[in-house]
Amino acid sequence: MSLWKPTQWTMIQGLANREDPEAYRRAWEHLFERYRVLFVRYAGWCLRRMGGQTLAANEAEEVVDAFLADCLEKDWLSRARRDKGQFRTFARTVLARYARDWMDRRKAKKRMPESGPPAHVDDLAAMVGAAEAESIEEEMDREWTEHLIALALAATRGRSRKNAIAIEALMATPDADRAVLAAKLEVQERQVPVNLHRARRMFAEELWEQVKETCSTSDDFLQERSALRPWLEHYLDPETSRSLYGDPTET
Amino acid sequence: MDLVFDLTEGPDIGRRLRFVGHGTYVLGRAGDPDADLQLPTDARMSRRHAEVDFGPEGCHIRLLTGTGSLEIDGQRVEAAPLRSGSVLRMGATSMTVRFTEASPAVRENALPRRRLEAFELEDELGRGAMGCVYAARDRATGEAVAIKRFEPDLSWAGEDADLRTSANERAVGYFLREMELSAVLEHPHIVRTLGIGREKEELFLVMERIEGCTLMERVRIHGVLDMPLLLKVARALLDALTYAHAKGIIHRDVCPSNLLLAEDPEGRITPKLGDFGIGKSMAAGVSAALTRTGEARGKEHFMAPECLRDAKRATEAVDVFSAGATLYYALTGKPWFGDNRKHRWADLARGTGLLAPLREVNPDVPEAIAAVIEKALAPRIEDRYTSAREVRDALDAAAAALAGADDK
Repeated sequence: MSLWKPTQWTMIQGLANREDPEAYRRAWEHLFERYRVLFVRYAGWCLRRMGGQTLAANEAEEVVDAFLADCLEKDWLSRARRDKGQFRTFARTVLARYARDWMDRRKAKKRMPESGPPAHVDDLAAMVGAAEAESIEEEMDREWTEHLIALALAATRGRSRKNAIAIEALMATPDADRAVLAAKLEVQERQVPVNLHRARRMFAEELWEQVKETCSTSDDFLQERSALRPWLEHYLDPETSRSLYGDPTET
Repeated sequence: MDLVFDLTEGPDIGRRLRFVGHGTYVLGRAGDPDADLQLPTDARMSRRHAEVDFGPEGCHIRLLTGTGSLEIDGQRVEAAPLRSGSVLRMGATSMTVRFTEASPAVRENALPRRRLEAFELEDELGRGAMGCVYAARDRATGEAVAIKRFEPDLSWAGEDADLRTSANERAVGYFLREMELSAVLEHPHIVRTLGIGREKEELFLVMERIEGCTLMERVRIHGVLDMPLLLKVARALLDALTYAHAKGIIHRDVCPSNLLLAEDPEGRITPKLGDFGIGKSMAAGVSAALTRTGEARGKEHFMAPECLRDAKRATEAVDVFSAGATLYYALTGKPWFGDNRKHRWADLARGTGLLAPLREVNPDVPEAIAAVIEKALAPRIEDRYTSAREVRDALDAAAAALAGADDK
């Protein structure tokens, strides 16, 4: 029996092409809105590296809005391959196609086609070259990780102001000494290790909850967890990174 | 008044069961979630064998099953009044009936009912299998307290609104009864319960706030305990259990995250056992286990095998095992089966267990201390210490022998 619980992403996949278009729209917009800023940046990188050096400021936004509109109106989400189990990889792949399509039309001065995204080019590398693709995807992963950390910190702050302060302090100064942290947390120095332990634990819960919401299955989640590891290690202090990948049986 | 059954014959001979305050109680074999008294080892008892109606006008019992029998003072009956001193027989079990003065908390209503708005909630301190614990402050007195909030688990009632309402009322009633029973516990090594309340479907407990950490956190942050601290923690835990057991209260959920290590400004540590009464509510399905957060995972690592087979079956032996598992963890940082998770469930189901010898995991532990903890962890009840007091005495003897050996 699978222990995987419904997530925002599985709910959207389940609702696609179903009888309740309103529920589908709400769910899709809710998830999409959380990542919209990120998508606009990503679309901008794609467009520029596909040759759009004279890109207007709003063009990346238009690509992203077209992507959202087509997801809602043309029901091609149900045609998205189910094995693309992570929202991040799904969005990245499809947005790259949209960007390429946009550039094609821009060059040919054509209007947007009526159908959904073209299915014949899946690979960003085929559109912009391997080196460019790697660089764009790296930027996207970096931004995605930053965004996840921000979401997890906000959720942590909602549960415990002190715990959020602890994580932020460690991100700013990973080797901050105990006295500095005690002052920030307004606790005695000997209480700092317990406060940090609790903060790391709560932050880990919230971060993985955010990641789960964008995955379809537990395997997808484990893959995503691994994929994010180098980036999380880049942003977080070593002990917090270790606690994220620690013993899952802790009570 | 409380209703007490002393089991004088049958597979559970020696057990004492207490029903606190007036109410209707179902007696039967394990398997019915409604049964208040369950005797899983008595195969001759029906799942819902009899019902006791205990009220201000008296106490009556009636047979619920068509196949089983009910005898009072040697006479077969379908229904009859119960009197203090009556001998009741159901299935293979005989028990004497007594009515006793209600426990002090129930008599004096010592556990105040509080409203959540009377407290200013500060930070969340943590999430457990039962709910969230918050640091809070009493708005009127400024007292720092901890508040545990949780919702009854009504998932079994489905979407039927009426069923959910009645299920909720029953769950709340059960919980309040358990909490009031636990409130009689006043011991230096037990976390004090200061109040209780209900806000719509949510229940909450007001407890003394402990500055410090749990034993689980201590081991994770600082590593395993040294021997002086281990002995201090063990004595406190076993004394708390001995005290509670003498009052007929079983904890059921002793584990490193329920053992708090209070630390005063000079760094002195006082262990305190928390969450009394909640374990029983949890076994009865009253709590919402927050499994979505994964927080409940690992609790079973400290449960006695017989408790895993039947969560409602709880005697002192259950707490003895869990205390052993908790001390094992304090010395090794691991559950009692070590890294051998693969065979754990099958072994537990057989009641054999596959203990990872303590000194193989931590060779620094003296042999005599390891032997005491391992005996507390015996999978079969008859091989285990019979009480927390016995574990405490054995531990003291082992510690004294070690101290004597050191002196020579």
